[in-house]
Amino acid sequence: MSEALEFKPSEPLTLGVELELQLVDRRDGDLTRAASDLLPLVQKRHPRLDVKLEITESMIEVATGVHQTYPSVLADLRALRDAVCAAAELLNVGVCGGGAHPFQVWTERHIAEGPRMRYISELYGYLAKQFTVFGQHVHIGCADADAAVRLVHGLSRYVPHFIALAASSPFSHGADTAFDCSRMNTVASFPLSGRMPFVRDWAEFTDYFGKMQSTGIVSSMKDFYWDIRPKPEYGTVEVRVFDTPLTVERAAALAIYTQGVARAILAQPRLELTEDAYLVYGYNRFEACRFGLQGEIVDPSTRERRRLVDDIRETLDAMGQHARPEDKAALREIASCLDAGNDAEWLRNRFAETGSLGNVVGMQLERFAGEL
Amino acid sequence: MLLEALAMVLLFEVGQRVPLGWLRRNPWLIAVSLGECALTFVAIYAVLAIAFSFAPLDSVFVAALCMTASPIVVMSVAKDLGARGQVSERALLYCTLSSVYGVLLVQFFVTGYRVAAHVDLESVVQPVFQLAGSFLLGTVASLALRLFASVTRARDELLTLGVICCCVLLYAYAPPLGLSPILAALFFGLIVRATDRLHRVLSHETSQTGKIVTIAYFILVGASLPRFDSWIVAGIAAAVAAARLVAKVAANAALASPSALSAAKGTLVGIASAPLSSLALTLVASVAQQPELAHAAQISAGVVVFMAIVGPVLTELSLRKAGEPTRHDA
Repeated sequence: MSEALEFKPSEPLTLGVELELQLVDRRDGDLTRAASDLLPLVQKRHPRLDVKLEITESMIEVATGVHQTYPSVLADLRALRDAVCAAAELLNVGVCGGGAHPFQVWTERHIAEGPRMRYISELYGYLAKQFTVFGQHVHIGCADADAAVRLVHGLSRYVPHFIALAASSPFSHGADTAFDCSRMNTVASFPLSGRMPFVRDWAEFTDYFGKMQSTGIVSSMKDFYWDIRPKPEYGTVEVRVFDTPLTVERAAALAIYTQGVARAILAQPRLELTEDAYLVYGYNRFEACRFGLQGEIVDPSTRERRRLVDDIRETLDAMGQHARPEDKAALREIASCLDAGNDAEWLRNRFAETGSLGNVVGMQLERFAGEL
Repeated sequence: MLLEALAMVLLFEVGQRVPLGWLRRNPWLIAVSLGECALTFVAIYAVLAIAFSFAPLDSVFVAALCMTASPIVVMSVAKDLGARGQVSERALLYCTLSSVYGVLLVQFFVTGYRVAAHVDLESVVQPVFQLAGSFLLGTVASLALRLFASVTRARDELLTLGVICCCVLLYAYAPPLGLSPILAALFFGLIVRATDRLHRVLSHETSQTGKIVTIAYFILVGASLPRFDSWIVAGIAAAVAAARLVAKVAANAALASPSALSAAKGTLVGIASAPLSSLALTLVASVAQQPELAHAAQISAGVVVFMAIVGPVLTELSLRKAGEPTRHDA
């Protein structure tokens, strides 16, 4: 077995969150070059916080520690937000959520320093700069490697839920894309994106990974840009389809929702799945990206067609019956998203009010800081 | 006169780009700008008084004139390159602040000199009156522009015309009131920026007329630059320009860290802040009105000639070194 694929078990259903954040010019709301100036400031003031460079200089990534409950992950996210925003203020840089910047021009982006960034830039050319999109990744702990494979397949049915609830990238290059989540279209340009192949257990997965490694195409799990992928070094499954929400409260709630879905999946001793589970994966994913909560999905097992919002509400109700009291607030946040609309709708409403995407970004800054 | 009127339109734009809130969020920026100006002043004074045995009065005036820098040139170079980042932002901020300090300091010295060649109450009151009065005038102009923008729903070209009209009015009415048109234009832009939350007047920057104003301004600056009277003046001016650059770089590098920037980037900010242009020419003209200060005005004009030519090149090199240009063809 490849050493890189040694699965380090972790406590089941623990969770961690990574957020990719936008760094914007406060004057006009466009993306700016700030990550390499911001990072040392945050690290100097808060050496224990996990803050990293991302592919371009207009992005920064923050990551929480390991958590179990909504209050705990939310407190961590708020601490990260406050630390990054306070440091950014010294540089007159704005920090906000949102899956894509509404009017940035990709040719203006600068690739960040570092061997990994250079490698990606050399390999993918202009795709690397176009990858200036902003996602949330949720890690769910797994007791063993086979459980991780089971969880990846089980969560795939809920990918439309995750996309629609988190969608916050309706604008791109100054225009309304008509998608609630346009970010996923950017990710789809990468050859190793999409879904994990249908393998039944960790042994099959390592076999697949070995074959891919022998082709020279991949050297580590980082080279797969799958929607959901195992993360052996952390002992987790990583869900990567979320747009970065406009608030950390929504980000924490989405993590708890994912944990709730994972709890139900891992509670089953076996996952009775065939490759047919992925029959409508692409279609359902498209519906969620294009129409958000108003999309319609097809159940791969019953072939029944239903509204995504109804499917989420049903899942949420089932989850609510077993939820810990401290997580109820997270489920209320998800329910409010179903009632009031996702972040994409919020952004469109703000644009309708102001007629200026620069002003929309200004409001995103206030919203992320918890002021709006 | 046309040069000054065009400079005012561009100073309005400078004011619009300078974020006052940043000074509140990072007060070290004020300390850096004061430190940079103080060190530049001392360095120039020392070069003239010690190396060239200039009279203290001449040295003081040259130092006050040449410690300033040109925010218009920095802004134009940054816009041309599409530069975004700390070096371009801070260079513009420090150049703007140095211009404010320069105007007030020169006013302070000129008034003091006029009264009795020494500092008295009037020489202190005059700069305060200049500052407060120019701020008030800038506020009136910003209200007028916002009214114009909301009534006519002006964007782009029409809005630029509105800005030009306001600047011409400031240019016409500030001097009779004993106020500085330069400061009034700067405050005009700053107040618009601080109060225009919906960015109704931001489109002025991108209009074709705005670009033509910039081009016309630089043509007139080039045509207005004085010639060197002698090689001795050129030599002294070169020495002052060198001392000025070294002081700006040293101050920015030394004070970068507490202001949340690396020393390397601080060095680049110092280099990017090199330009000296029409604002200094205007100040030189006001000093040259005093016959006894003609020598100081002559040396200062020489420094302006050097830095008007070399300054933009240094700014561009600095922004490129910092990797801030975003235009792929720049």
